[in-house]
Amino acid sequence: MRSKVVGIQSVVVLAFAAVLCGYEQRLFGVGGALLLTASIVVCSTYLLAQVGTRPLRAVAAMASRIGKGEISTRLPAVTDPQVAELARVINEMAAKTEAQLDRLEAEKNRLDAILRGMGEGIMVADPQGSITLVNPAFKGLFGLQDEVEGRLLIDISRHPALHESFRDILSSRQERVEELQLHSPKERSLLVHWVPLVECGVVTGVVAVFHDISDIRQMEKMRRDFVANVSHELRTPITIIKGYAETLLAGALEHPTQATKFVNIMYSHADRLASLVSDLLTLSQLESGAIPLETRSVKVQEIAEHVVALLERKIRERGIKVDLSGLKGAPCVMADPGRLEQVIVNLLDNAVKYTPAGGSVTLSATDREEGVIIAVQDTGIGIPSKDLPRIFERFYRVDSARSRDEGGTGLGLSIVKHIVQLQGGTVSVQSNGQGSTFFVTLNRAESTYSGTIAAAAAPH
Amino acid sequence: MNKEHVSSQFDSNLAAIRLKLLEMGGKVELMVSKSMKSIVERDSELAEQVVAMDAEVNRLEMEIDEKCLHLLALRQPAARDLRFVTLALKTVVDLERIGDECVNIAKRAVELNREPQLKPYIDLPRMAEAAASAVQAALDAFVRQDVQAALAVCRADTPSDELHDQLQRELIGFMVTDPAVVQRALAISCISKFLKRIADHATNIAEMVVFMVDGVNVRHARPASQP
Ligand SMILES: Nc1ncnc2c1ncn2[C@@H]1O[C@H](COP(=O)(O)OP(=O)(O)OP(=O)(O)O)[C@@H](O)[C@H]1O
Ligand SMILES: [Mg+2]
Repeated sequence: MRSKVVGIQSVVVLAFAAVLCGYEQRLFGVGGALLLTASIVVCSTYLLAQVGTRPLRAVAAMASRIGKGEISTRLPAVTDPQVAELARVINEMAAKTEAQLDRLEAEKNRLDAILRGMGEGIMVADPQGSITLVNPAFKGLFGLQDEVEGRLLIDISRHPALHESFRDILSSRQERVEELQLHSPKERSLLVHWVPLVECGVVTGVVAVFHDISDIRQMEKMRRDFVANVSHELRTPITIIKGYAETLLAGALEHPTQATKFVNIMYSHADRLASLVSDLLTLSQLESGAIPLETRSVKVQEIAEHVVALLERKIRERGIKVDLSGLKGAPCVMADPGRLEQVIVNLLDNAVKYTPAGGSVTLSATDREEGVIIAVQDTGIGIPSKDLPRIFERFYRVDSARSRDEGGTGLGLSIVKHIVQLQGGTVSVQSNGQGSTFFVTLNRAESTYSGTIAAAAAPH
Repeated sequence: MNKEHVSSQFDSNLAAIRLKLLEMGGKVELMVSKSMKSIVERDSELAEQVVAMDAEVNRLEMEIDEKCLHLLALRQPAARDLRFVTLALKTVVDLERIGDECVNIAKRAVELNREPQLKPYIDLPRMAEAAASAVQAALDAFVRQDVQAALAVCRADTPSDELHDQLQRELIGFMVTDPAVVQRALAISCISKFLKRIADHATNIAEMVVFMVDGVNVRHARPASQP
């Protein structure tokens, strides 16, 4: 764009120069003739010189100012008809050029604004691979801070696919759309639209538009994973149940002891299947908002005691100590009691499941301005920091083999998150290798914040 | 490169070598990242891609070599240009070796991916990260002719060594307790060694960058004696 403006400017300057040269030659002719007759009429020569060259010099000076970019300069009126004509032509040209430049400038500004505002990255390069234009989005995608224009594409990114495509576009002169997998500065999926710039049969450059589709790809992957996960989780118990049913039909029914054993196994897997399906159903209902929530003032301590009673056997078998003393005197929260129970069941179940024997789980509640923070803290195996951001995703498991052995489906935490969010709360997690702590923040039932801290263990 | 050069043919030859060298670098960087992903994500298809890319890298090495020798013979470059050609001749060797190490890693990845995962990979990705960023930083330093950045690459190879030693100790522990895992533990141990070598090659490249820009040879020199 800039070079175009400069180009037009120089054309204007050249045109001025040509016009001026023509006039000067003619003037020299006139001057020569005058010199011949100088000896005869000195006076008239002097007079002519007065009216002829002085204004002309002024015209030349002004024209040169116009040529140098002071495009709004206009020539003053002169008396000499010839010079006046020249001045008029120059003025007209200057005015036209000024209008043209204004239009170009406005167009350039508009284009700049569009390029700046675009979410897509844009890059234009000449056939030698030298970049002539980029927008801020492009710089963002490729992690560039310095000036990019004028540098070589290879100095901006060494990604092989980028250069292969660039060369291909130059030689094939065909537009094309393709996906590019960036690995630096960040893992990204880009959709790239390549367009060759062809002027009069000559390729003068290449334009590339980069559209970041990482989120779309990520979502597609999640959906694919979800379907794959569901099928996988459903298939395992079904295969087992089917296998034992076949064995029973094939004659095992005749042996009561064997048959009882098999039916027991079938029952436990049918149970697992049922809980999986009910989890899935819960999730889809939560997501579609089909579950009516009956929120009322609830005592966290009562619910937690009930949950501990429910999980009593598991807790005892595992040899885990559960401490509820941090919930004593905790303020009431606004929640659906059945749903809150589900939340605490899931968190406590995880804490017990992922804590080795002899460990402990501590529940506590803290009264804060933003609400009541319920914390479930364990001394278990902890969660690697790279998994923390994804832990609340459906089917996400740190160690899927281990979790599946424990009968886990990886749906527990995503149910927790949904329930809590539906009640206007938030969930979070912390882990540092010394166990994990899950936090659930819910609205306080009493509308005023008493400021009394109910629990000893406050989250940091 | 050298602005005072009158011969534009000469300059465009140098530019062509530089372009090819960086393209080769880009391919090798991709190989490093893919080979590691093939292990961490247990994706053997990526490993196959790495093996396939090696031929292309080898071809580029020969092409650059040829271009450099041609230039040396016909134009007798001097001073900085000569140092640039020297850098190119040496750097292609390092880049090609990095490519080879990636192929080695990829082959082990295919082996490892056939069996259950021995342990969560924690140190390995860190080492790979360190190696990959060393290669990237060395090439970036070359692009920007940045001596400080190059020297930083030369200094930074120690954490990679530490991780390597730590991993070796851990693997020996595995092998002692369960002979069934020896095969896998050895494969991981090899990968760690390959990654260490990649970092070493990156250091070589960075040293050449310092040499090219400053005309100083930092190889075999202790950091204290650097100018
Ligand atoms: N307290 C904890 N300590 C360590 N890891 C945990 C803890 N809670 C959850 N996790 C990790 O988070 C993953 C997801 O938990 P989530 O409750 O969603 O699934 P799950 O326990 O595997 O199965 P389920 O659907 O039966 O609850 C678990 O597989 C486990 O890896
Ligand atoms: Mg769970």
